Amino acid sequence: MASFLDRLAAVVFASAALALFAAMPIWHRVAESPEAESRQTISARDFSTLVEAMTKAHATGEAEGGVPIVHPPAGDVYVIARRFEFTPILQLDVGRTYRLHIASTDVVHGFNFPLGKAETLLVPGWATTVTVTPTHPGLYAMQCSEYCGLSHSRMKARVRVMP
Amino acid sequence: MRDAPSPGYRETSALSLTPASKRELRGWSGLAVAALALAGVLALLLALSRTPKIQDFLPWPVQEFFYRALVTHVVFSFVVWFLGVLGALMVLTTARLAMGQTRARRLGTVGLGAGALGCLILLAPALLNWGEPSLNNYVPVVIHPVFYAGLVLLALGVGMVAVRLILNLPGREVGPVDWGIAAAAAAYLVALVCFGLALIAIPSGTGEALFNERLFWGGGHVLQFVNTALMLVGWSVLAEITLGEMPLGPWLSAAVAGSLVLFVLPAPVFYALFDVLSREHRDAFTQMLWYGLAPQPVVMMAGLARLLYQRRTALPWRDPAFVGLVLSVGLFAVGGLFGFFLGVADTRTPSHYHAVIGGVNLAAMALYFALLLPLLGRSSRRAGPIRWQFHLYGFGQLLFSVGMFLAGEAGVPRKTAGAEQGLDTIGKVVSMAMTGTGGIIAVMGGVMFVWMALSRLMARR
Ligand SMILES: [Cu+2]
Repeated sequence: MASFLDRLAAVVFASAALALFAAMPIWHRVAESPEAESRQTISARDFSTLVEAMTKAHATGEAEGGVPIVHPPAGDVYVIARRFEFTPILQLDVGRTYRLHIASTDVVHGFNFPLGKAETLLVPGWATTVTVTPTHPGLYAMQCSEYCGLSHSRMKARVRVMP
Repeated sequence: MRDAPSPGYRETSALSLTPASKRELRGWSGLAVAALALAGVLALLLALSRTPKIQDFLPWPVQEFFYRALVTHVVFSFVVWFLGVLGALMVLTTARLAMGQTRARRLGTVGLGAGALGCLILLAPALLNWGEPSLNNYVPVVIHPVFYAGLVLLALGVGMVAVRLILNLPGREVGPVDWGIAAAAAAYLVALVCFGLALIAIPSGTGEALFNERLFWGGGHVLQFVNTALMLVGWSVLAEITLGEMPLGPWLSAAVAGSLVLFVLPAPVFYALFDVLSREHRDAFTQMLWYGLAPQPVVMMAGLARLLYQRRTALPWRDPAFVGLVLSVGLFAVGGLFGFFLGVADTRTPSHYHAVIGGVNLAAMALYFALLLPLLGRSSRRAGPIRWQFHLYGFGQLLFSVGMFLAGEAGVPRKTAGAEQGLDTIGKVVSMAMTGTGGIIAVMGGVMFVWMALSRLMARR
């Protein structure tokens, strides 16, 4: 009796494991978020120029950890990812729509930004664009999600959303 | 396949140990504990190198030593420790299956030699200030040929023992525990294949950080199946020793072990399907772990729950092996729950793996006192200190993990210490205090384990 139950349980478990195994392509489909980002090529130098222009025009004069805080108008905004910071720090307004362009100027970084539903790799030479329309004020985390060096775990920024 | 053997697993294992297999068993058991001891010494040096005044007396440039020593500490306390325990259990299983008629016997001696030599070599870069440290996932490295050579020797040494075990399976009477260890051996070999494929697939010119991350990403995920197989085997053996019965029947046990291998079989294929540097490659392994490593512990825990319920009036709470078993299951369960709340890179991630790894560690530690040391004739009748050790380690890890989980809510960055953490709310301070206290208690338990196990292994009889 015990042996029969054991064999039955083994068959049930093995079938369930095989079903889960066969469903592997489906997990992949489910986990893959609809591509929120678009990508285009750009050199590190050109991208830095765009960031510098935006920072010059819209700097708040404040800084966090040495990184300047900028308050750009709706539309195109630019952020550089590099070891081990995102610069500049964005200050956005509730209800406005921004096209956030982000690019790495050194090595491959990960870009995890839940506010923009973004999780992607930043490969040097490519800029990724996500559209963001903040609905609630607060601090929103942006962090590197791909190991990029000893201080990778410190590579995070907080985007400020104002009412 | 046989039903529950009447003399217990420990007794039948003892019968099959030849002097040669006993030597190998002592070798791997010793290597694993020695790795923990070394990791402990490095942890002490790490602490000293961060202490003002004292750091001036260290013969190394402090800043560089810190990360190299941290890498070496992590490799010894996780990689070498687990592989040593795996080596010991594979030697034991091979001996049980072969009953003195071991096929490819020499692989054991050569494998142990290579593994031990690899470990010695791994120490060199930290002590001699060679190479740049990299804190990539799973197997952090010091970027220096000598360090990689040490890893390769260790990996191949364990690999030889795994191959020998599999060569000794055909035509032998294989019990449920043997299937579990054989599954661990097979998954381990798949991990080695993944490391090799990654090395081939990663394009030259890839930055060092990403190179090491991707080199160890796939195989590192597969190694978690190995660790889980070891833990589940540990639970079965500990239940049999302390309660006289395994949690699952032999057929279900074998199905559980087989499923661990099933889910790692696609791993090498991922290298063909996805660009090794892509996000798809990264996520494929995460998903393999997420889906493929949940069913087995759940079924084993259900079996254990049934067994514990049946014996609820007469549970051997004074038996250290039983205490180790219960704490291991509890810690692993907490870690599993945390896993469902995983964030990408906040402190909740380590809260999950510290609890889960703590569960695996406790099962391995309990196996030392309940199985390995008695087989080597080094058992002890003093149950009190062993029980204490398990309580300290188990509850320390629990406090540590819960503290980290709570800190994760507050977003304290991980893998850093001291002023960089920016403690600015009460919640953060409390959770970091829990982490600190839990860490100290767990370390006390760990030190006790190393002391008790090593002194018994090295005692002259
Ligand atoms: Cu980064």
